[in-house]
Amino acid sequence: MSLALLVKDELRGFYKSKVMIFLWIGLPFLTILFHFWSSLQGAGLPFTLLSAVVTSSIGGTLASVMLAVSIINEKTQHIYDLFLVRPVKRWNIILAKFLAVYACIAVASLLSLLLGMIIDYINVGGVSGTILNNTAQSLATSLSMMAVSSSTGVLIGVAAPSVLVGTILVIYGGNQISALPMIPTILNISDATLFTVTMGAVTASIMLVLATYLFNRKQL
Amino acid sequence: MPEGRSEVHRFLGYLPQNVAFQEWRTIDRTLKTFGRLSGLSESEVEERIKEVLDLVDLSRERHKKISQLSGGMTQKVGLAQALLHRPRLLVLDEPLGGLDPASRYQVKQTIMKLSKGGATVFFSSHILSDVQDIATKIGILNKGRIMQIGTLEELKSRFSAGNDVEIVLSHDSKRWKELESLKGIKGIEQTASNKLVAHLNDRTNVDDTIQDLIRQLIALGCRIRSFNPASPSLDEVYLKYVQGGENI
Repeated sequence: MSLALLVKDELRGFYKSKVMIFLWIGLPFLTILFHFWSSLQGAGLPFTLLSAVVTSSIGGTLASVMLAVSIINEKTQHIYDLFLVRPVKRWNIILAKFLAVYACIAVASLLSLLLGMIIDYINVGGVSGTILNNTAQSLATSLSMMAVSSSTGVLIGVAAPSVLVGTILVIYGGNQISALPMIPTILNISDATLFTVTMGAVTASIMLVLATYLFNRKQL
Repeated sequence: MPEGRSEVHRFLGYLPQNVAFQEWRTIDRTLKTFGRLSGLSESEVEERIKEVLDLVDLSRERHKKISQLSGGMTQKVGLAQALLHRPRLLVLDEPLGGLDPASRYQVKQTIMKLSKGGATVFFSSHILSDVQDIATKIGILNKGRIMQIGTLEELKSRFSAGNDVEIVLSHDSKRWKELESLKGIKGIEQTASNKLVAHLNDRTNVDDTIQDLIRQLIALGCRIRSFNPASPSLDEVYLKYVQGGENI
């Protein structure tokens, strides 16, 4: 019960603090900008594919920074004290944060992709099967990468002593770790998407378990 | 506290020092979340929010955002969340810090009401006059260790302040200096325009000396309004215990 309540609360917080609006309007808007920029450069990438790439790189960084900063702030202000004197398990607090941010960012990605498909449809007069297939692969990759960067954000949030250190760690380390699910695609192995998703899920789980372990040991 | 001990959590209400909440929340949303997390049903939460907000006088601010509240109001929200689930043990860390005099009075009344209602309230404070006003039992802490524990009277009685008497005069003939020669009196000093403190000798017969003192004061033309053994304030008691350690 508490996990569902906490996730709902976190989502409400993102809605109230306008984070959702910035993500859901900002990411699709950025993808359109990139599309025009790539057309001017003559690259002419299909918009659908481009939107997947943009959301995974920018969305992942945003998610991990949001998570790390929010956890560090709440930790230093002792906001968790009042949760922990109630029958709430510590891992629920961590997981609720992760799930809420991940859900927001996933919706933003889907919105960008949807916009991409609409624009491709208008430009080309339809979306080809190859583009759809590539898009599905890109989506799987970007969702896996975002899961890894979000969970890394949680881990850094729990471990870092200040917002400044947390942000530096997220930008230095978080982004590099989130590239892990790309390895199967880079190595061009068969069933790359399956490996990508598995690798993303496993890495994200390890990060979350580590974060929970540290959060349990911390004197808040 | 170990997690998962639901019974213990439900038994306990806690207000930390410098209480803080997520700023996007309203008072209503804050209390709803904490009420539900404390195991109350939605209807119970609704009912209790009304009650506790009335108690801390925040009913009109119910839908205000936390970021718009003053320090005192935030402190009151902190108290409200601690009371939501009707805990039997309340641990309040500096509950009166940052409050204006009216709010302080109100919170003190609330604490006394809770105590009379059967709850055990355990609170810390650096404002000793507040402790003196509301605590039924006082523990003196120094460097994280309990030095002494007892009622205010018990703590005071451990000092030899019984050798001083405080006299309030309704008419002062200004001749009380003559009493210093009285047997059993070490000295007399004026502490306020109509207030005297007489220091009695340690080995004197207190009852006889006091009788003499009253008789002589009247004879010297003074009129007495009250006559009490001088009692140290809690501040003095605290300082003496902290300076004297546990050997007192």
